[in-house]
Formats: sequence, C-alpha cells, structure tokens
Amino acid sequence: MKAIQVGIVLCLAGVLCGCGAKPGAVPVKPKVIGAALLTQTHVFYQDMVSAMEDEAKKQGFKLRLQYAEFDSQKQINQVETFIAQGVDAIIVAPNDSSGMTPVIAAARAKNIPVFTADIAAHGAQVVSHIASDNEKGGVLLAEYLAKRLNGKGKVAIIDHPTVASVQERTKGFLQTLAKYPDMQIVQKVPGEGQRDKAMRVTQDLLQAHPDLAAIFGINDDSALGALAAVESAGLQDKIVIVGFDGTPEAETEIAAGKALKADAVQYPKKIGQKTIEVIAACLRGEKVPPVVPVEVGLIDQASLKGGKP
Amino acid sequence: MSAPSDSTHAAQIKRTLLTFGPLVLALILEIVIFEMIGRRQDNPGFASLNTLILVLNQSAVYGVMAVGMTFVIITGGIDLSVGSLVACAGVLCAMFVHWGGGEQVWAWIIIGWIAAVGLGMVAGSVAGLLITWFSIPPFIATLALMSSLRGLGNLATDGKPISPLPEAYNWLGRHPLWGQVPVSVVLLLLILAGGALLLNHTQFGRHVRAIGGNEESARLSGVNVMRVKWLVYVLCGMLTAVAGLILSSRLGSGSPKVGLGDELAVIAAVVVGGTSLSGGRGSIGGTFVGLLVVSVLNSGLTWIGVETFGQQVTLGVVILAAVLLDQLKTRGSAF
Repeated sequence: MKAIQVGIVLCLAGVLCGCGAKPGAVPVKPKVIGAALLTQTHVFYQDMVSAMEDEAKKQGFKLRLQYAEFDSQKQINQVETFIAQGVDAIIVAPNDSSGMTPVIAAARAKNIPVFTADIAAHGAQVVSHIASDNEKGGVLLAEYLAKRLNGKGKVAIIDHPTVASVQERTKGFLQTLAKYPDMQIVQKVPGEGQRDKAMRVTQDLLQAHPDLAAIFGINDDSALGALAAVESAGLQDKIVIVGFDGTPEAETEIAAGKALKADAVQYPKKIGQKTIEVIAACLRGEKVPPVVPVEVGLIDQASLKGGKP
Repeated sequence: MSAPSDSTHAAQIKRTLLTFGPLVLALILEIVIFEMIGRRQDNPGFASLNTLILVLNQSAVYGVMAVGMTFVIITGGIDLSVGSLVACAGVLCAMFVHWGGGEQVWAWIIIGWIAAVGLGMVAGSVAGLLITWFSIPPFIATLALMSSLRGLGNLATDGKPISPLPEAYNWLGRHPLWGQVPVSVVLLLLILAGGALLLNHTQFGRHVRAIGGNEESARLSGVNVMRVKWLVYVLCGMLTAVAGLILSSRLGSGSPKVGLGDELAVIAAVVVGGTSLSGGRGSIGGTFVGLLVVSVLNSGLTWIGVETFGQQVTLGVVILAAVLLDQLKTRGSAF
C-alpha cells in the first residue's frame, strides 16, 4: 500500500515536472526528441544532424535519429514508433512532402508537437517549419546567371519536383528569370537529386539542346552530375552550371574554375541548431512562429578566394 | 492421398512444430530483447499490445502482398513487379478521389478501390499470360513489368504525388475499429485466413503445391497447369493492389515513387517464413510468422534507436540465418 502511495506521489511529481516550467527543480527525465529525417547519405544532412546533436546536448534533450533513405513507408513507420514511445517532440524532414499528412495528424492527436526541418510537409499542421530561405536562393542564382550571360541564353533545370524545398528554389529561380525576356527555360528534367541520374538526364539534355547556355542543378548532387556530363561532352567552356547547397565537393569544383560556377549555399548547421532552439522554446511554453527562415548565401570562385561574389 | 492415420497425424504435428517452432521462438526472443534494451534506455513498452497492433499495422502492406507472393513462389515462380504495382494501384485510386474533387468522397473512394483492384488483376493477368502462353521465365517477365508499371505510374502523374486527399481517404490504413485495431490490420488478418484456406483446403491450393513440387507430373495427373499458374499471378496482382490501397491510404497521397524495393522485402518475409524458392513447399502461416519476424525486427530496431544502416545490415543477417536454419532442417529430415 505504502509503495503504491509513493508511486502515485512520484508519478504526480513526474507529471508536474514534465509540464512545469521551474528550472532547477528536481532533476526530471530528459525530454526526448524523435527525428525522422530524409537520409544519412547527404553531407547536408550529416551537417544538420551534427548541429542538432550539439544543440540537443546543450539543451539537455535526448535525440533519437532515424532516416527514411528515400522510402516514405519506412518514414511513417518511424514516426509511428516515436508516437508509440511517447516522445516529447518530433522532427520530420519528409521524403515526400505530401505523404506525411495522416501521420502528423496522428501525432497531433496524441499532443506531440511536430516540427519540419529543411523540407516542409504539405497539408499537415506542424508547429513550426525551419528551413533555408530556398526561394531567395533561387533568386540569387537566377540573378547571377543573368549577369554572367548578359541576360541571354537557353537554360535547363535538373529538377526534383516532388520535394517542397526544391519547388521553392525553382519558383524563385523561374520568377527572377522571367524578368529577362531573352533567357528561356528550354527543359526541366527530373534528376531525383541524385548524381548518377542527374548525369544521365544531362547527357540526354545536351543531345536535345546543343546550344544550351546554362544548367541549374537543384542540389549539389544534381549540379555535380550535370558537371560530369558537361565535361565528358567537352562543353565545359560553353555551359555555365549553378548548384545549390555548397557542399565541400561543389566548393572545390567552383574554386578550381570548373563549369560549375556558383552555388546558393544553405547553412545546414544553422538549420539544425535553429530547429532544436525552436523546439526548446516551444517545450518551455513559448509561442513560436509557423515558419522560421534560415538565411542563404551565394558563393563563386571569387568569394571562395575571399572576394565578393 | 491416403487417409490420415494416427501416425501421420503425429508426423504432421511434428512437422508443424519443426517448421514454426524456431521462427516463433525467434519472434519471442526478438520481443524480449527489444523490451530489455528499451528498459535499459528508460524506454519501456515494446512488449505491449499497443506495439503489437502498431507492428501489425506497419506490416499490413507487406503482409497482404506476401500472401499473393507465397502462392507464386510455391508454384516455383517469382513476381518482381509487386513494388511497382503497389505504387500504380495507390496512384489510380488517388486519381479517382482527386477527380471527384471532394464531392461524394466515399463513392469515389469505392470506385477507386474497384479500379485499383481491377488494375492489379489485369497486371497479374498479363504477367501470368507472359509466363504461361509465351513461356517467358517469371523472373524476366515480371522484371519487365516492374519497369513498365513504374514508368506508367510516373507518366500518369508526371512523377508527382497526388494530394491533398480528403480525410476519409485515410480510413483504410488508419481508422481504428473497436477503439484501437486499424482497418488495415483486420484486412490483413482476413486475407491471411483466406489465403491459408485457399492453399490448404481447396483443389486450387492442392494444384498450386502439385505444380511447385513437380510441374510435369502435375500435368500428367490432369492439373490444368497453365490455368492454375495464370490464376496465381492474377491473385498476386489483386492482393498487391489491395496492399497499394492500404499504403496510399496510410500516406494520405497517391505517389508513383513508393514501393521501390518492396518486392525484395516481401520475398524476404516469405522466405524467412520457410517457403522454398525452388517451389513446392511453403505455407501462409509460415509467411505470417516470417513477416512478423522481419517487421518486429524493423520496429524494434527503430524503437531502441538503431539507425537505418544498422537495420539494413541486421535484416540481411536475419534472412541468412533463417534460410540456413531451414537448410539444416531439410538436411536433418533427409536422414
């Protein structure tokens, strides 16, 4: 009987501390955050995750990581497992922006706040979406191309249209390019954000449009795949490639003066850190904005050597 | 077949124990290990009814496909097109519901179900015809279908998932009956029971086994081999479409990209369940346990925080272990 009473008291204490705001009270169970992210194979995600881990440690959170590896079914299973475990918050970077609506609703039904990082979820109500200002990145690249090509030339996009962040990039890119009547988009080809596929579709593209002036790869794997195809076709002096992400490999190519001339850079570490900060604020009971944009920049050979782009 | 005597009954029980015993043991072991590791991490609750229902819900898609695949594999065939067909079925149903535009949602959902199952039967029928009439090896015929169906799904949708869909669309994959059992779980159990009945207690089922055991002698003893094999692929296509409907409902979208590599996951579950890839031997019960072994493994590894790469390695080890165990058993019984 006594044991039960003690148990009840302990439980109550746990509940009180769980939603209580008093810092320095009895040590409580650390908050657990489940993260179901897109992939472990992109450098971008590796950077984002390392920053998440650092910030989680600072905040005293326990971070559980899972990766979809391009399988939507696996990803919803992972989120369901987090829900069953009763984690305190869930981070999702959807493999398919449209395929997370029901499972996010299921989390909400259990009062678990859901956050999206890097990639948004369509039609799902999340507490906050933390991501690069992708549209701005597209704008910066289009302006760069227009300047470099003197507002003239045919442009192709190595696309991955199922991903929301990519849709924002191409939106900013297309809107800005539309201001230059002599620059036209000749084709958008799907590279699925993967290097080998991007290389293959670029080879086809070069066959179809021998007078192509520029290629926009929606991420660095797409841009580097395009670069490989352009170089093997011997067209590196005729075509300008721009990419997105600023991975070390892309930076090396840009600095070496290859056909890949510029990159919109995201700061994945900032996204990772910001995500955990926003969650911490939310769990403290503060109001957080529904969209948290993280700044982007532009790099080219000059900026990598210390100058301005 | 001779009338069962007491001794054959005993032999049958022994055989059943030999078949399922180690697998069930492995399953229990998995659950216990994950619960123990979970508790160490201050993360208990894996061994619970809720988690069991969760695992069943997560295995519904593979499970429904695995029933059809078991029939195919028992005839000595294989169907590699299921992963692509799963995507096509979901896309087709989502298209109908999307066209409906939110009016009379349920009518459109039911039309979508019927159309998707019809598509599955047509696809299975094509596979069956290629394999029977044109004598194309199942591996090649269904490999070709896998590619064409994947392309068709992408063509029909321009590579983009179909969404948003009304909330009623989530019913099949998520709606809890009697408070907590999702519709998909009930459907999975019904299809498993139906599959077991069909395989063990009908002439069709006996013919399926006979063909897998020895196609020539089945033909000589009057089995319409072509028809039975064709029907097996139609059945597999139909069940795959049902699986596609469940998956699409669970995702709340019709995506042409889902199901990549599902054929291998399903074949893995069937093989772990003791169905022989060379045909003739296998059971729906075995497939169910095999499915659970694989699903519990995946959920459990997620539960204790093993990341995806580690899961892939572990799954490979478990498949190998299951097949080795199976080989030891057959070698043992040969003595």
